[in-house]
Amino acid sequence: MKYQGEKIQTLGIEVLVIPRQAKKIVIKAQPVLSYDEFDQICKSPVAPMIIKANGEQFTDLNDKQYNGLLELYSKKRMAWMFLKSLQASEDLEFETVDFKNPDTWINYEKEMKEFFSVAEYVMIQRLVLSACGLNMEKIEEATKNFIAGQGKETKSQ
Amino acid sequence: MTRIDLKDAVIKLKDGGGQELEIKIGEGNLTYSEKKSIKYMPDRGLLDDVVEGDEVPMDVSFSFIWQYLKGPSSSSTQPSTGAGAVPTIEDALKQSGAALFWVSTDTDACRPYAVDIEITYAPTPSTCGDQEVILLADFRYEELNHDLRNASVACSGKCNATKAIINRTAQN
Repeated sequence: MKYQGEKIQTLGIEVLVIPRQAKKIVIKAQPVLSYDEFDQICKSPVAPMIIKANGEQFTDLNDKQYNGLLELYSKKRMAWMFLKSLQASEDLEFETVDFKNPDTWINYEKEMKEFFSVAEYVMIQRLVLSACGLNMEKIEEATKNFIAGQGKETKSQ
Repeated sequence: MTRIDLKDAVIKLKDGGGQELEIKIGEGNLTYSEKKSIKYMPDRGLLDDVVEGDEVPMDVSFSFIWQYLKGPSSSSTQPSTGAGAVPTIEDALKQSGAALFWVSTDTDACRPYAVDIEITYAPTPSTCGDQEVILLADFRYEELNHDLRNASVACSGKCNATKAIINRTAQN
């Protein structure tokens, strides 16, 4: 894909260094551009179908079990993005997470909270979101700057 | 014998692998019968010792016209079984059609296919009583009668269990 005739640069790896006594913990987060790998391992839940006695058929989107599965699916998707992004941190290892087993993905949060302080964990979360292009603050700031710049251009004309 | 009023109940036919068929009943009835074999052994003509005989399977029969059938919701942890397809009651009981890949609830694969019957009865309004969940485990049908004129299903069979498992919980 191109923008103004030039290839769009992909997002880069973002780095956060957390000082811990003598050591410095280096957290690297890479952008997650595709969810194909996730979609292959973890399928989206399907709402149950209802057949009425008169033959009418429809999906039941209010089904409790389906909504529970959907919530779990969203958590797994978020966890996978987080883990995939943190794969750039070569030195970081999760003991209870098996990347091939979706049921273990959500364990990352517990492990991180045991190891990092709340403030550190929030910073890591922001790092991952930023690496994946989901940092709304940055987007809003860029949008504001762009709009402000446009205003100046109009005045000077 | 317990008689269940199905007005406020939902019946589920469940397999051993997480698949289920929800049936909302319009009109009908379901009965199950728990039996016990007791042997009385008199001593010189007078009643004396009592022992329990062989276990007796539970009899189950139901006959109803359904309002709607609801298939299972599928997730990544469940095998792909044509998600979204709703099996008929017969499919679920016979392991055919959309229920072809249903797994028997009996852990012994050499035994004939069986399903669990779960009846959830929630009196309305919720202040009228607790929710009751009755599980009739390992049901195998022995007779399946069809009434085409009334579009009803009548079925009878046995559970490989001596009694129903009943759970009562407060309604939310």
